[in-house]
Amino acid sequence: MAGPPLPIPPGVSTSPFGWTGIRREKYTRWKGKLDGRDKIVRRMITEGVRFNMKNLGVVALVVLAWLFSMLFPVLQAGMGGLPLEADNPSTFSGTESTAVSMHLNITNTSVAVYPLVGANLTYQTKFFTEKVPQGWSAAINVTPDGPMVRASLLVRPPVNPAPFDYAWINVSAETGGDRGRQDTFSTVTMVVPNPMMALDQSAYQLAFAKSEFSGKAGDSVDASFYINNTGTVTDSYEVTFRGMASHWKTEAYINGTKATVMTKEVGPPGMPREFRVKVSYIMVTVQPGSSALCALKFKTTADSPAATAINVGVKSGNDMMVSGEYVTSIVLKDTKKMDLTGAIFLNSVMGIMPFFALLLAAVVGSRMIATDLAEKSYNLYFARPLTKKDYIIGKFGTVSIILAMVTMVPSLICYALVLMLTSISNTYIIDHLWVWGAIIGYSLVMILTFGTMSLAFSSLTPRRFYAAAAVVVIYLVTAIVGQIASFAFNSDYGRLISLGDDMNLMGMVAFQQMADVTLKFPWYDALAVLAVLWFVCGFLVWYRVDRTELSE
Amino acid sequence: MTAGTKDGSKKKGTKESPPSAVDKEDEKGRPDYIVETHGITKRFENIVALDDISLKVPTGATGLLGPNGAGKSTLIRVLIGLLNPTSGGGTVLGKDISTEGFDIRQRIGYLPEHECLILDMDAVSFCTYMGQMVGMARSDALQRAHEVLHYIGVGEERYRKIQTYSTGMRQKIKLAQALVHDPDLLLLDEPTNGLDPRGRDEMLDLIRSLAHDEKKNILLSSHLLPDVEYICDNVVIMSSGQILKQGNIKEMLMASKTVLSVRVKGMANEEDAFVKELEKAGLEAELEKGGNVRVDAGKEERLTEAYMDVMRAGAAVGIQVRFVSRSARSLEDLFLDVIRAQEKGGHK
Repeated sequence: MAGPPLPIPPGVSTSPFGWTGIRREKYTRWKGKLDGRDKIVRRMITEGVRFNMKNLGVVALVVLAWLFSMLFPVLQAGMGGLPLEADNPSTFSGTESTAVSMHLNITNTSVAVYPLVGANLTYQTKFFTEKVPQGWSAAINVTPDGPMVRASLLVRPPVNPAPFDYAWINVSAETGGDRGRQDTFSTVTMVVPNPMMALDQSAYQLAFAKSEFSGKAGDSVDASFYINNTGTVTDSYEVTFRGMASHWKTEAYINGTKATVMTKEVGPPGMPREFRVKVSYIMVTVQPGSSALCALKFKTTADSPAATAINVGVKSGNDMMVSGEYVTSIVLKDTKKMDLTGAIFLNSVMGIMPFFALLLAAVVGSRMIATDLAEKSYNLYFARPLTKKDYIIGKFGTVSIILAMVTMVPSLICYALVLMLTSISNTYIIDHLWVWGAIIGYSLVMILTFGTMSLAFSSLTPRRFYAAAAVVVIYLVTAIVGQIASFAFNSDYGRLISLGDDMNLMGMVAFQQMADVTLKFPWYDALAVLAVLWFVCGFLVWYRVDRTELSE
Repeated sequence: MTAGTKDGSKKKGTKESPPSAVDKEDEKGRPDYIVETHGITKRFENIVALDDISLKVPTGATGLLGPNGAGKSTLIRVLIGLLNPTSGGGTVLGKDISTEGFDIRQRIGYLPEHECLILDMDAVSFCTYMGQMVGMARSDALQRAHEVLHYIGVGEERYRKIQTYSTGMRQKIKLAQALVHDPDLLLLDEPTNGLDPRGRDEMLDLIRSLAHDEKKNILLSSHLLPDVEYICDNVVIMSSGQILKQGNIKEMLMASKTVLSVRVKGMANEEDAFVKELEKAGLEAELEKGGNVRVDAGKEERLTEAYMDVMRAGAAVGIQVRFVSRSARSLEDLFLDVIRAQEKGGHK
């Protein structure tokens, strides 16, 4: 219970606020408790931020940075127009098959018909023929069949052909110009004098059935094809698989029975071993007039790169014309959704932030130590329970928080809002935890660069205008000199001088946009340049503050 | 008690708060001397800034008196743990100056000689900030800022930016920031520097009130003798990095020589004869302008005897002794005596 008011001793001045003088026994609230260094430094930072946020210019810059970085992405997300992920145009989906009969014997009046491709594709497939000999004709019939495309190559010999005249015609199939899928295979059509010989033919058909493939460890893709022995003798076919990295494993089944996958080294005879290639293969024996179903399961035991090519070759044991030359391949590409998050955040959200961070560093960071030097207020700091290290931490902490307010904070908030407003796949949030780290990492690069630079210049002069100008000028000059050096030495390494380019490269690394990087130097070179800058600026600040003593 | 390291930081692992400024145990255990040093020497390369400084500053107000360059500011920097002495050591408020700088700086209030205010802040924000820099919570610091600003006589102006203040106001704000955390010792470095007579009087009254009404311990560094004499009970006289004299001002004045001022009437040769007669009696006498004779009577207890000797000398030379009075000794006299003695080689 509150007692009666304490009597005021004579001679003690009274305060209109109800407090009494400065006598400690009359304190109404404070009981004399003083906190330690860690709290003092924290308060130094808090008060520094509070003080700077009373500056209208600083507030205006922060507000503008938030508007420019957050407004459009958030509005776009709210209206459903911000695609964080999209279908990857270079990804196969569904199933597709390739069927090729490569070697046909015909009589001089007949026509060779090669079934080409039956595909269930979202993109149009185009066929081209090459090396059609004079007198021969090659026509391709394409018949749409629902989502499928049925096609065949008709090879017609010239009138009155010479016996054993032949046509070696290449056929290429392109599926979708931007998909990069291209199959090329050869056909050999031979005119035989005896119609019976026309039956002595070997051929095989391949039919790949491919489900969606993510490229993740443990995922697998199936391929199956028939080998038809249309000849009159038993044939033993060698089926090879190539192009797989060592972490790919192959299982093979022939007519449902597991086959033994063997390996051998192939390559130019007499060449050293490093020129030879290890090939997996199985042997398939097919009776004349029969076919064998080869089912292959390609399984990856580790995360695979975005694209993997698996070449499957079939070589007849009887007919040299059906040989390893006739290889078709299928390109498997990562079917993950195309991820636009990194590009959106690096370019749309955080693209403008270096500009605002630079301006704030010039306005806020440059005054941090310069003002203390001009007004000699360091006398008050150093006469308090703060070490010089605490002083530097306090100053850097203040600049860092203010810089974070135009980099890290709006980016994190923007990402959270976009996640809430955008329709995303179930696994998106878990798969994209790295975005939080990228935002923090790239923001830290900007904070460290502009923070240390502005404090260093601030410690060199008591005139804060000079320090502010130096921050902006150095940033621009390094950009210009970097470009000039790049042209002068015809090397991208000149761009290392540019702080803007170095930071941008760090952003591209953080947001996984390295595919778009045109600079020809590795990202860690840029990081090394920035680290040197941070160290030099930090040392300068330490050196200057360490040699600042109380005024005599 | 919180242990400290050389740079003033707490030792690793000690998380307890620094001692409270109103810690009762501390009150009980407060040492007799707020500052105690033993042979402190501070060298800057070839320059000896402090030379074997041993002093004991008792509680109350003490003046650190000396000409410019005497080493007063260096001594203050050493005392608050910002400079390590080359040799020697000491304590401030019972804390070791070499290892407990943090604790010392938390318990002292320092008014620097030079301009040091953050001009873009208003007085309330500034004092609040300075309170926080000592370890006060923001709300406590804000309350105390208002209290001390009211105490030092800054009214509604406390919401104005400091850059709009007059020199006198700024000096008061410097005092307020030193007071905001209720320190156990105030270190005031030339607090009346640059003030006009009115401002100087106000500042001196404030400090005197702090020393005598509020019983604050004050170490006042100044080269202005009247300031020290007005405020302080004790004095430490420094010159060229050495302590020439220290002690209670009253006691020092009492212990110093007693001077009689004698006015005589007679011919010029008679005045000279009078002086010689006094010297025969063993007194130091000096003929001053206007016919007055300044007689050094020696110790206080010889005063009556000296008076009789003056009268006898007058009678002996036939001169009329019209007026004898005891001359009042000031701190200035004492200071000049000490400086003269140093110049004559009387001190180290």
